[in-house]
Amino acid sequence: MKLEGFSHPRSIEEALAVLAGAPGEARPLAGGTAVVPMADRRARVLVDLSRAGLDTVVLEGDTLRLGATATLDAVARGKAVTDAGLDALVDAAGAAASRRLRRQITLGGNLVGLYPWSDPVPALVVLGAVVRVRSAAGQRDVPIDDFVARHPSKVLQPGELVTEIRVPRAAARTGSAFLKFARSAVDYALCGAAARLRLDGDVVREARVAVGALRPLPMRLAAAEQALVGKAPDPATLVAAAAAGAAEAEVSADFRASVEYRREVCGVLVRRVLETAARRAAGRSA
Amino acid sequence: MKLELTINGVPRALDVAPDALLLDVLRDVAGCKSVKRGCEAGDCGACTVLVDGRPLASCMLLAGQVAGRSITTVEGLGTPEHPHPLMTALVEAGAVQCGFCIPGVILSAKALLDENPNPTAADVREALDGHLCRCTGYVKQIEAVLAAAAVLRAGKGGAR
Ligand SMILES: Cc1cc2nc3c(=O)[nH]c(=O)nc-3n(C[C@H](O)[C@H](O)[C@H](O)COP(=O)(O)OP(=O)(O)OC[C@H]3O[C@@H](n4cnc5c(N)ncnc54)[C@H](O)[C@@H]3O)c2cc1C
Ligand code: FES
Ligand code: FES
Repeated sequence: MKLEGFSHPRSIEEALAVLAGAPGEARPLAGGTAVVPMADRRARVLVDLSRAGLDTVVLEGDTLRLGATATLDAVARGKAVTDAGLDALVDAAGAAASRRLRRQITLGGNLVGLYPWSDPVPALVVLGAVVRVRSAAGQRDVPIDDFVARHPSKVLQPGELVTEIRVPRAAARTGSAFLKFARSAVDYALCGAAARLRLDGDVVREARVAVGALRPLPMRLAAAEQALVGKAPDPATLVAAAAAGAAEAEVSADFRASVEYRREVCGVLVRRVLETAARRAAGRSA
Repeated sequence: MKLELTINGVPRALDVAPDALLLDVLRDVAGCKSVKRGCEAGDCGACTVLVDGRPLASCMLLAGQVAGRSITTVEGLGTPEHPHPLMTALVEAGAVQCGFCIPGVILSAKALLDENPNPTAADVREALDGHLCRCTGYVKQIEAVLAAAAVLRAGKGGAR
């Protein structure tokens, strides 16, 4: 298929109508940082979402609403994100690529393209985000765990767009964190780790731990989570949970690093995000 | 495909291929040779231009994406006879060697100073994050941007 031109819809409804009107031939374009250089132009029409009013970053009641075309820079610096207490997302959006690229990469493009190195995604997983998907025919909300269990390209039907990523405000005594490790400040992550802990008195009431960049899709670490619940987040517990997580993680090798190296890094990062999340949870009374 | 956009304040209507990169259109059609092709992969920042004031990589944009938008390259900021204070400051600080990275650096610095006229060194470092320079070691560039900020605050650079 040869690219013939662009559509610049001014609203989400208009964008959906264009997609519905050219099934298989119109393709959404957000920041373009993946679509453009890969010459991945399997489209007759590129539907430029940048003017469709999808770039909101607002806290509405207990829900942080992130428009699909909000840039990673806007998310990392968004007052609404900090106000919602979603530190893991601030950490992760601010850790991707360089500041210059973060002004171009959108949260929606980063999530839908779901690259192994998509830093914000493990954070969205531990924060319990919900992905709002719309087509000309209607709207559905997909929990993030389901959205990334398979590649999103298999979840989205033709004509569907991600319009919004909705993240619940952090509850009291809840803290979260994200960290990644890469060979240089701008290289893709060898491993990324995110955690959210909710405390009740002195013990962890709820724990979510996820890793990215270890295999094509991100992964929840259930054994690490189980090793935390009901226990005080003391150093021994966090070390044991991190070890359990590193043991259960599915890890692939590539030219950047071996399985053994990545697993080692995974254990260290999980321990560090647990330490930070526990400290932040203890500090959040309200 | 007809593409209407504004380049350095001048409305233009250009004939471009639908899959043309903004980088190529600016260099080869509009004649803005200050826009450099370094990596064509988003890594180096040499191709940075301002799109409605935001510094973006023109190698990561198809020209069709910026229809109707306003593009600024360093040709639009100053000339050898009338340099922008950022240009003067970079030269005076000895922050320019081969010069390949400099147009991109100037535009990201311009976007920073438009947003924040009184930046700290950390703000400047963050704004220049993603601009690779193989020559200078960055320190003089950061000093130059801080110096230009002071000049602009004092109003010595004229209203730009
Ligand atoms: C040099 C470089 C370094 C990078 N480093 C990192 C890094 O360290 N960490 C990181 O997380 N990312 C990084 N990225 C970004 C990542 O690799 C992708 O390029 C980026 O996330 C794509 O987002 P985009 O907004 O540019 O999407 P686009 O390129 O516009 O689109 C990506 C895909 O998503 C589809 N799409 C976009 N929006 C929607 C929507 N709302 N609904 C449905 N489908 C949609 C498009 O059709 C396309 O298939 C880097 C990119 C580059 C170029
Ligand atoms: S040429 Fe565009 S970032 Fe290097
Ligand atoms: S001056 Fe040579 S690359 Fe920066």
